[in-house]
Amino acid sequence: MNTILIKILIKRFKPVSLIISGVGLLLGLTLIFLCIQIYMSLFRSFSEQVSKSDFLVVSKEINLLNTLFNADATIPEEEINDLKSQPFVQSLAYFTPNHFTVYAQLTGHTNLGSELFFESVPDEFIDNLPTDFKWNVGDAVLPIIVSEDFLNLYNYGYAMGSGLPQISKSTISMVQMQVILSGAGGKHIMKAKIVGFSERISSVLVPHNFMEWANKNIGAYSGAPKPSRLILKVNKKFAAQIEKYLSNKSLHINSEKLGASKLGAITKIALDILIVVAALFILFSVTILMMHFALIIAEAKPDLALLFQLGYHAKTITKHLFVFFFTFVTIVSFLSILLFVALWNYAAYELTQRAIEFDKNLRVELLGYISLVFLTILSFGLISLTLMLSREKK
Amino acid sequence: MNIKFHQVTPSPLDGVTDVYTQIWQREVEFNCSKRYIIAAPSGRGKSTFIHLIYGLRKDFRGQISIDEKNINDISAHQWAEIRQNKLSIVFQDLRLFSDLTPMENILLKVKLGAFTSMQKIEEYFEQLNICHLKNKPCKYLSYGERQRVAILRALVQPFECLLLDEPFSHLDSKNAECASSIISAECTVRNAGFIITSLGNALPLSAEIEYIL
Repeated sequence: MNTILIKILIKRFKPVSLIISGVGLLLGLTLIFLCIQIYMSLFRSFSEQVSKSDFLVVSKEINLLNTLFNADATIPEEEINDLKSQPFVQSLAYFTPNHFTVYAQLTGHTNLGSELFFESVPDEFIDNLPTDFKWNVGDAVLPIIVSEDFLNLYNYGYAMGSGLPQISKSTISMVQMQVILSGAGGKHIMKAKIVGFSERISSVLVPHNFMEWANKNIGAYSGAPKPSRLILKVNKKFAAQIEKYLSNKSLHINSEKLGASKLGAITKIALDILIVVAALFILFSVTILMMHFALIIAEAKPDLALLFQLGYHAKTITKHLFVFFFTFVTIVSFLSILLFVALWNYAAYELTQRAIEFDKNLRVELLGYISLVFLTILSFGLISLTLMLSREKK
Repeated sequence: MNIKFHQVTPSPLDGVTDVYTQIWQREVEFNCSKRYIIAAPSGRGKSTFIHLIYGLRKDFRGQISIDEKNINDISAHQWAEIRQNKLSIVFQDLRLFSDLTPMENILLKVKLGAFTSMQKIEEYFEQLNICHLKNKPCKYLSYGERQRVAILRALVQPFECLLLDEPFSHLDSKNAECASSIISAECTVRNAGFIITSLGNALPLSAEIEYIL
């Protein structure tokens, strides 16, 4: 580097302009890094997320009539067929209820037991399906999946209130239970084991083939299934349409799940807007910086003319100005990465405090995006400087 | 290296026909290993002549060529190469960076090709009696002192022809002779020539050919 050349060019830089564009660039870069990181954390495994909240559990709304007249809450077949033909429904399944009584108790504690119910759905509708959720005729142990909500209700409601120990997901699978199934077909006692938890389905699930076997052999039930609950796999794009359709048919949905996807859509739009704002921030800051360079080059016109007269190439001068630009952008980028990491950790801490679950890890892909933004700014600077100086040369 | 003037009239002298000249509107060839004096009173275009050769002015009729190449066809990049290696110049108005010291002004030139060693530069400073000024910003130097810095700057780069535009105008005879002997010695060593302009008065630098502008 030619220090004398730098001395001639750099003495003209105004600290105020540099600080203004530096702060703008810092904020813009930090904001864009944050947006990208949030984007990747929230919508990381987008398909996974979609499939999670794309399942809706639908039931007939329970009103006073049902209660008073013990009316049937089953969903009629024509409604099911109509539902099947809707564009937003990708697939649909019934919840099969038990047609026998279930009494469950802890092994060795005959006084610790409760009446229970079972439901079953096809495996593909179950989230976090454990591999041991299988049953064959003759198997002595019945695998059960319960809703995560039940565990939470127990841990945060019942156990805390009554001084019982809290149970984790792994400890509950060690609890030995037995179930007494009785119906018109006889009585059957078997061991049971909780093998998994479902976020999606609020129920006590058993394998579908067990349910068919038990309804037939223990319940001696051979009628057509009378579904009162359905599980739908829907296309989330139609969220508003789904809501409208179901309320017209007086079907009740777990609207919070649908709401989550709505919230997701709003968050996404907000993030998109933020990214545009951040990009504009960066664009304006770099433009201010380049205008500052243009001003410096204009002011240094006599000096530049003399340098050309002494035999300096425009390229050499461009190189020296670019080194300054490069140093400036590198320092600001580095600071913005520090600021971004600090803000992200703060946000992660705050969200953890509020018990909001999300992916806190910084994503490796972010490095790619940072380099992309960095290189774009540098090429923009290099091209502008080259153009400015080639104009000066003439 | 050779420089040819073919029927050249610079714009400032357009329409001036009543004066005797050996260069304007004529065929003249400069062989750069030779030493030339261009003599004329003020206003006859001496600086214009120097600037035309150095590629700083484009406002002329006729044709000028350097090494058989029309100077209008020489690119900015090629001019930079010529000014680094073939033509060196002492401007009449010196054109030093006034905020920089004499040493920095010299180094700015040296950085282009590192032709001259630091030891040699120190020697030049010594010989020209400006050694004590070398780290003082040029704006605090007298015109005569700056003129010596400008001469020194022209000598630290390689050249085939040195263009000197009234280089001794503000030097006393002792300093002028000193500068002349350095220039003469350098030209001999490099087998280079020079073109010097003068107002017609006697110069301490002797030349082989003299033209009247």
